[in-house]
Amino acid sequence: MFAERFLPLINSFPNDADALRRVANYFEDLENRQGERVFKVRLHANRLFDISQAGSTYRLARLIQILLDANLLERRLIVRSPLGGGVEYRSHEAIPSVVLDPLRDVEMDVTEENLEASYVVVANGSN
Amino acid sequence: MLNHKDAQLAQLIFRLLKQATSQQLVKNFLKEKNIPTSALNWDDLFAKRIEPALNESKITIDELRSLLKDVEEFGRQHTFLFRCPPETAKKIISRVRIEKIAEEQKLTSLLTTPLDLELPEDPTLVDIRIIQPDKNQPPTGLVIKMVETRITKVLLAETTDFDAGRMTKTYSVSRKRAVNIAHLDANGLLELRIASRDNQSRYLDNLKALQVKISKFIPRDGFAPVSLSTAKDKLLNNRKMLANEIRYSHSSARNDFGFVMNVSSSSQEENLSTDDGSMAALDSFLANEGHVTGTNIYVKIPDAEPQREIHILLSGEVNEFAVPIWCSSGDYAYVRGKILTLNQ
Amino acid sequence: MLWWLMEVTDVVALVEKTWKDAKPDRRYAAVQNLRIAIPTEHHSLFDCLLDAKLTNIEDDPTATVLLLVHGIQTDGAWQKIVQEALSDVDKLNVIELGYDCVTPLQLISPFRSAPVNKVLREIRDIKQREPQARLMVIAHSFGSYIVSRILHDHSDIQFERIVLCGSIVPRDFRWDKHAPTMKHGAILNDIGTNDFYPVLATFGSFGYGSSGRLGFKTGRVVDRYFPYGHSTFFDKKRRHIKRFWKPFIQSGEVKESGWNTRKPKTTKSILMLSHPWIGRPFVMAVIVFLLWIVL
Repeated sequence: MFAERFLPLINSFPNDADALRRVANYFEDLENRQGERVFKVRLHANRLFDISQAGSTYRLARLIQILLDANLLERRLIVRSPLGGGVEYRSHEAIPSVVLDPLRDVEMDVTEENLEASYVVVANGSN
Repeated sequence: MLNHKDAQLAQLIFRLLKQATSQQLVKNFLKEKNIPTSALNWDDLFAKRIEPALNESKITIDELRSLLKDVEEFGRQHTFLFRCPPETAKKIISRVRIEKIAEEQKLTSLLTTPLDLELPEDPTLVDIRIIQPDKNQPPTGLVIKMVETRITKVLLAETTDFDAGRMTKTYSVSRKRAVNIAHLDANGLLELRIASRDNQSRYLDNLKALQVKISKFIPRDGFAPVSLSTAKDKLLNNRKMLANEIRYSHSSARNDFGFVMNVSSSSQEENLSTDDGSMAALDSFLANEGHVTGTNIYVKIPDAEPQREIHILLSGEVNEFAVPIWCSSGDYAYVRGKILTLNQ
Repeated sequence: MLWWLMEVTDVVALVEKTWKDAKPDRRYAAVQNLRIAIPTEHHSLFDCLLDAKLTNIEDDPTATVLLLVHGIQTDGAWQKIVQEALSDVDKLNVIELGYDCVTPLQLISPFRSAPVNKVLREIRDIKQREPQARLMVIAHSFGSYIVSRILHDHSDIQFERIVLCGSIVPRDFRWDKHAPTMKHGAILNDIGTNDFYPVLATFGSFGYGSSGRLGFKTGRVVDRYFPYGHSTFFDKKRRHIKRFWKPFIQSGEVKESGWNTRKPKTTKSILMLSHPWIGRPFVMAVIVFLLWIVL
């Protein structure tokens, strides 16, 4: 079960254990309902905030850091087109200041308004 | 007969009414006072009907100001909802506290007479109202009004100088008055209503600016955003039950696999919920780890002749909804109540 | 600030300030450019902070951070028990605050400031990183002393709710002065009527009191009595945490203890030993007498 991979983290990071436990419970419930599809999960940072009940941006950042460092999740940054889709990057350093919107074939400036942070599940190995 | 100062004030309030509402609404107000309403245009309305009525004391400056309050404080706004415990709210809105702070801030005059400002240089508090229907009971609410000047620009011309490698754009710049309202109820609900902007969809900076401006009266600490996720979900899940009250024009949803769905009616006049295919797709999406992120609806105002609907946008921040058109205080109170009931 | 000496709190503050000060459409670029100034060891956290800023989330003022401060001669194994018992409380995050083991010798010595300063530093860090969070604390034994010293010496540190158990805080501690914002019912003192340690701490040294055995008996604190020893509060079989602390942390509900009305009368000897001006001189006199006999 994917959720079992959270157990060592819960033990290693007692001060973040509550948030980690809530995320683990979420994945456990999802895996019970959706099975292997759990490895297709892509969580928006806002969704992670709600699931973990992190309470503060610092605590959310800390949670993300633990999950990324433990290779449970991988970062995906999306420059969102107004039409719904977007262009994906794996790190903040890789994002240019202007991006071509593939759905409209126009250039768009990358700002906080159209940039979203999300995280995909790392199956055994990597994505 | 009005003195010079009151005459100027009347003209100012009339100018603000012109910006904020329609002639018909002003005429309705005059009709209620049994004042003739025929006029060729706005200026004619003022010169032939309003000014004489003021001089003859058939209407007062305060009544004009009250009309302005009704028309510019509701609608064409993005509302952000917050909540604090009722005990905290009651302490915040206590008359003694508000009067003390107003004195410290040299704003005591706003408790009795609003400031009539057209285009202030900086965002300015212009009205502080302690709502206390029964003087023998504690206040039930506090309303603070902030007016700011917004700059809007319209592109007029564009010229390119290829030799210099330069393009020059010329804009006409105009200034517009924007009214923002903070309303704290004794039950703990705080509404921060920000005047709609023409050219942007995110209001967090405007929201923060209002919060800072009113912070001496209504502190930021202790107020949690009221998430409207439940209302958004119920609007879609209970749409059959709500069919007589609500019409849908757009819905957006996102699932935990990163997929996004947007469904819209063919025009703003159509009802999305009558299209079985769209609704089936949305239901299926929501049933598979999906949740509603935004919805555009039209709320029917009951017992209105002729039938009237108020357009609501439930999107943006989790605690945000918008009324993109002007509406009366009664209509606004109805739609807000509807949203809060659905959110329970 | 020397960039290579940057700590986590400095990185958090820098990101926050840059985001706040930059123009709306330039914020992301402004913070991205900061990366060069951040030490490599903090890049991972920095990227995560940037992710969090993109969400436009505001810190939730209803979120609670519960601090657990343990006593001497332990690393606070009970803290895990408390965390587990409260794991289903919404919006609650529990933080264990620890310090190097304090021996009984250190306990009776006047050199107690190191653990107090360590816990204080951690609390300040938490307040800086999560300024909107509601801070609550459960403190056991020497941990209660630490909390009282912090409140006494640092008026900027306040808690929304406090639970003391096995408390060795002096009974005349001025809660009205050092916790002025806390109203009645916000401070609980859970007392074990079989707990001898607070009495021992009172006559064995200076600066401690027997509040964990006799209560504070002041309007600011709710004393609750239980037929417990010093650490029975953490006995899973008693379910004390779920029954009495969980409702308090969750909603401020103070559940009455049935033992309040059934507890036996405190013996005269305990009362005398618990009095700092009777117990201490008496015990010292006994010790001197015994030494005189031996020598």
